Amino acid sequence: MRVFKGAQIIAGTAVLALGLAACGGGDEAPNPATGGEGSAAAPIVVEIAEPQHELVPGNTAETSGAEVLNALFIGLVNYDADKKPINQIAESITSDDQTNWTIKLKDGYKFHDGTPVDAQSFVDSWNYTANGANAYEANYFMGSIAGYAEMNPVDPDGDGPQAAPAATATSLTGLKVVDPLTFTVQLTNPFSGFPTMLGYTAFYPMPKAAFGPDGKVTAAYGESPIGNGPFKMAKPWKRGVETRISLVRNDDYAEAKAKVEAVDFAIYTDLNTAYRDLQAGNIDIMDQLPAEVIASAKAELGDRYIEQPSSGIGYLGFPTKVGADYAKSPELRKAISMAIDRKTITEQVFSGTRVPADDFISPVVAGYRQGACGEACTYDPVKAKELWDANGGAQAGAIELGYNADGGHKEWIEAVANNLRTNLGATVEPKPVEKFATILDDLGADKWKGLFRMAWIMDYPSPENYLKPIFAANAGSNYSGFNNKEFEELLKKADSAPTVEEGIASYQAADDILLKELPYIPVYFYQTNGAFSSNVKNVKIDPFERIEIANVERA
Amino acid sequence: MGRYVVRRLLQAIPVLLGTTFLIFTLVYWLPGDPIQALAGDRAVDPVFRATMREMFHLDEPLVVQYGYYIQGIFSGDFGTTFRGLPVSTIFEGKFQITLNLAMTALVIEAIVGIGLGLIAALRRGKATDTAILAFTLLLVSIPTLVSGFVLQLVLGLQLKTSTGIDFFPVAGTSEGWRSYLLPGIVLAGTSIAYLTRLTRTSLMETLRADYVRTAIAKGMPRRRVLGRHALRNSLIPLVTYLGADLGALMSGAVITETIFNLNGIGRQLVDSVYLSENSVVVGIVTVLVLIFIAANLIVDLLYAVLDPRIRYE
Repeated sequence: MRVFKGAQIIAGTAVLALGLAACGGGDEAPNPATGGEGSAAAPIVVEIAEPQHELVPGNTAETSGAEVLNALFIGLVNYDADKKPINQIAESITSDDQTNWTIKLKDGYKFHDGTPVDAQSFVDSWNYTANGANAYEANYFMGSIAGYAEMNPVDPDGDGPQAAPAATATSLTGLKVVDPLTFTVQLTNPFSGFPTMLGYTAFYPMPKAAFGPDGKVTAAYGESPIGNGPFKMAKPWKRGVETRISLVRNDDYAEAKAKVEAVDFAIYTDLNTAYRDLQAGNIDIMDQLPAEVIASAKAELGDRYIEQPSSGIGYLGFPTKVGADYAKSPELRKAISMAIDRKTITEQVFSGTRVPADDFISPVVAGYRQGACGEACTYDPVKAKELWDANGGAQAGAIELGYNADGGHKEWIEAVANNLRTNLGATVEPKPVEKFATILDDLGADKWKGLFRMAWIMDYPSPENYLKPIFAANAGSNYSGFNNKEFEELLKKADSAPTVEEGIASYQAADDILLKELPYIPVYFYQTNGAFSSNVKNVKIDPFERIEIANVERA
Repeated sequence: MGRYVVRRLLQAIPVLLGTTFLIFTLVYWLPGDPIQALAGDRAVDPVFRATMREMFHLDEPLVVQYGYYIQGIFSGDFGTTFRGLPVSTIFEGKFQITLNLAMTALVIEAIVGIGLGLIAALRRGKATDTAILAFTLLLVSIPTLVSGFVLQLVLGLQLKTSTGIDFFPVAGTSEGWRSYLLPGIVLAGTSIAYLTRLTRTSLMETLRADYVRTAIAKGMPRRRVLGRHALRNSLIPLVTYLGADLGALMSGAVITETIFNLNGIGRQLVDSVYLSENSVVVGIVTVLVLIFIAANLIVDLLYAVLDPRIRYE
């Protein structure tokens, strides 16, 4: 590459003469893999999509921004190989009643600007995220803390003419700083899995320097966040302009220092393009791969190819209360579930980037039981047909399969439709809709009668997150209308269990009810398919689909 | 001439108002709640939804929303995306990249297209001519998607891995002008074909004209006949085509930008349409309209330069 430097300058002048300013984005970072092979200063390069917001913990609820923040910040807890929370900044997280929690911090952690990571830095950050006026995407994570409702007044008539009442508070009453290294959290309801939430991006602390004189997080902080993690910003990142985010090692880090000196996050819009850059040695790590290259990547990369379960689940859902006849009957729902050939769909349609689902709880969290779904999720066309006919399936009318046409769902929905036609002898109508939001709007207005595709990615690694937000009676994302007293009781019991482990047993009992009633049919679990170049080694991806960047080493 | 330019610019105002309102209305009528679209598969939090709707005036009627938008523009505020990125930042970064790409394509197109057309016209009916015509046919029939991936794979990746020559980057803008070469070639492909054929036809016509025959007859050197008389007079349709093509190249670069990971306006436009981000879609389209208008004006002014008989008052 260096060879061409001279030519570059000459031609660069020619380009300028044509009225083109130098290339737009201040994107002049030297190409790492080619520019300085073997040199110690070349950063390793990680592929991401464009983060949707400025790099602030409370406003980051998607994986790309979280990938960067994960290098800049560490949280109260981390997760071990069994996906259980282990204390990181926290010395202890304790509660007697699962409602009032006391969090003690270890001494010695510092932000990149040298200020200590204290109780106040957590409370400030959480309060800011919880404030509805800031419209932060991770706002709902604070919903379980006392005082959230006062900060986020609900509009009494939805989108109607009445305005929402003004917020009556700007901080959470449930958060209290006891001393610099201790604070207490009061929840609105008992939740034994609270510690599992705390490793998520939304719960990272922010230093005093984040806030301007008006109390708002400054624009400068969003471009160059000051964190407490193994890496710090090398220079501010101009969102929408620059396609590389450059980080350097934080040498003043309280834990073991990161193995590499610098990391660049390179923004790609197309995974195929990124994969070719990986093959060319221009980038080092990808935490997702395009389906087309999976087969060749396995062969070509060998142990540099990563495949592990991810937290996503794909479902087919039923409006169980207001839907068509087949949506209202648990037996017919089971018959539909048994008529779907999950194995063939995941292998053929998804090229192995999905695996057949057999539980409502994902394999990435403690509490997943392999094969929990049993008969209902096992392909058995004969039994399915028997069950379908015995419960009046023939009279239930045409089965509608709703999906959003903009998300690459057509192929697998068509495959399911074929399964149902062949195995149940039913009329099946796949029903594409422009946007997923349209289906959700219709479901909210009780206008959607047929099946609809649905997916869920966890917020925190607790079985609770796969049950309560989707199937509890009042939950925001309960689109099936599922309402079961026993289920609610079991959730309550699990939430107030004295330990995470004891809670899991009750969550599993609640899970069993879902598996019997099948308001949704679990169809597939998502997989994480990643790859890395021969420049690096020891690349691991955690259940949040974040690369454990501090442990990555140069090969 | 100054008055002509002013008049043309004044004519642009109603065109701009018309297009912005049209686009604004179209985006407004897109189905689905844009705030729900932000949250993806998850139910959007009602408080978040209310705050966002208020912030972006989504509860107001169409005309009021448009009014807010135009009011903002006159005070220099082009609005922000739902994710808080000012539209002016998008202009600053992404437009530059798309402009670089379109200009690279335009230069490649002009040089290769006019060059090939010139050769074909001079070798009319010979093997070279036939070969060039066949080549243009090939160019038109290969979709950008195919040529993009193939060139990227062969010149970007395989050339490097097999020979070590690392001249064409696979993707991105980190290599300065070289980053734009491959995508520029891909983007220019179809236009090269049209321009070649246009040049060939136009030049062949001029070469048959009386004044060219006269020039040859009076013993003028061939090179001078070709340059001053024939080519210059054939340039008018070519300049018209190139002018119109600049706008087309800028607005049609989505696929090329995606394949080569150029963070330009194409991808942004697609994303913003999906999210019903009115201010972004209208903002980008407005600037594209301005570029079209400016390019057409420049083309019209060039007519006068190429053909002294044309005068603007």
